[in-house]
Amino acid sequence: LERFGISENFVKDKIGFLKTLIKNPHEETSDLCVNAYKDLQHKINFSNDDIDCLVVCTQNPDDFGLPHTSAIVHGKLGLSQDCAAFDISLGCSGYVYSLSILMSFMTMNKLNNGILITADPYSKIVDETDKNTKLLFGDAATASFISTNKVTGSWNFGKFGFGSDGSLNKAIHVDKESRKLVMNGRSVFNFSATVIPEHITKTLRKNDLTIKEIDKFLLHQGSYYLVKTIQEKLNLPSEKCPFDAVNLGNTVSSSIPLLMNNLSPEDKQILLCGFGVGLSWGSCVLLRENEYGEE
Amino acid sequence: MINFEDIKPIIENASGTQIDLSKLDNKLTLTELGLDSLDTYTILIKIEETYKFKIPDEHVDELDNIHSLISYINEYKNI
Repeated sequence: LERFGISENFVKDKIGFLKTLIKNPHEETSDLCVNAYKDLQHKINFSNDDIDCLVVCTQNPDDFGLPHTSAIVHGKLGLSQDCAAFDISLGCSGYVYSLSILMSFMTMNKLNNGILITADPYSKIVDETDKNTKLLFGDAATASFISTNKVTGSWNFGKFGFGSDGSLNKAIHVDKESRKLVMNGRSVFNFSATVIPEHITKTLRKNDLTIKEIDKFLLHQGSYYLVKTIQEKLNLPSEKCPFDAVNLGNTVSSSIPLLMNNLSPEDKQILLCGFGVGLSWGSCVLLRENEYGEE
Repeated sequence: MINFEDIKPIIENASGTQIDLSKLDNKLTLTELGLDSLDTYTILIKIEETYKFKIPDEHVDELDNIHSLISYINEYKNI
């Protein structure tokens, strides 16, 4: 912190990350994906042959992104040749976009089960000397089981909303020369504090829901101050708007699924909102399927 | 013309940290007042919303005390 001229209070009260997860240097993105897949398989017990589609959401793929990381993961896991595999290149909005893309793909092609993996290890691109990014980003991977069949205790999709502002594509980008991450903190903050609250309000309206009817708002964990700013702008009760990345860091497209892992059975109606690189944003409502198969 | 009293509530409301307003001195830098970069961004957004103009990134560094903020708003405000 001394090196960056940043106080401990700033880290605690504003950034909010006391620890950021960093992968082992020898681990590739596909290794993180395989671990996340196996962890999910262990938890919910499915066979590789059950999987019709594998999606990896990343902007930090293995090597230079050719072949696509999902193909490498497919190979490492020994999935069926009938299993489709493709990558989605999105950052912090990636989980919400990928849910919609994968579900649409599976519905259109009459597939039953898919796996959505998020893995975007920013340690590959973070400049160790840059205080704007070094204290923020953490490495993580998650895997979600997506099915077109109704599964007790799982989530049904409400309506989605998406947006982009390509005029601000340099707000978060990798520099051509140094190949390191560059972030304009003010641009990202302005966008998050102004565009995102309005976008969430629109998505609520689209779903005919009010703030009161949502049990949890799972916002991308960009930083503690970002989450708190959006929460205050929308007048959300703080208990509905968790910040739970103190020991993880900003894990990009993994931050929302990691939050979902901490939900309780009482959380029946939730709103997800991812926003960042692009600039790009997306949100949706999820409704828990009850034991009688009704929404 | 806007003055110190006009932007005082913006500073008060935007500050994530507690600052002592009795000690608010126009010439002290925002950092010396106990405000960090994120507080400053919040203040600038509020100024943009209140006075209906955009503050480009290249002007931000010069807006480092209350006096410069007031002069800047008076020069660029659209209300």
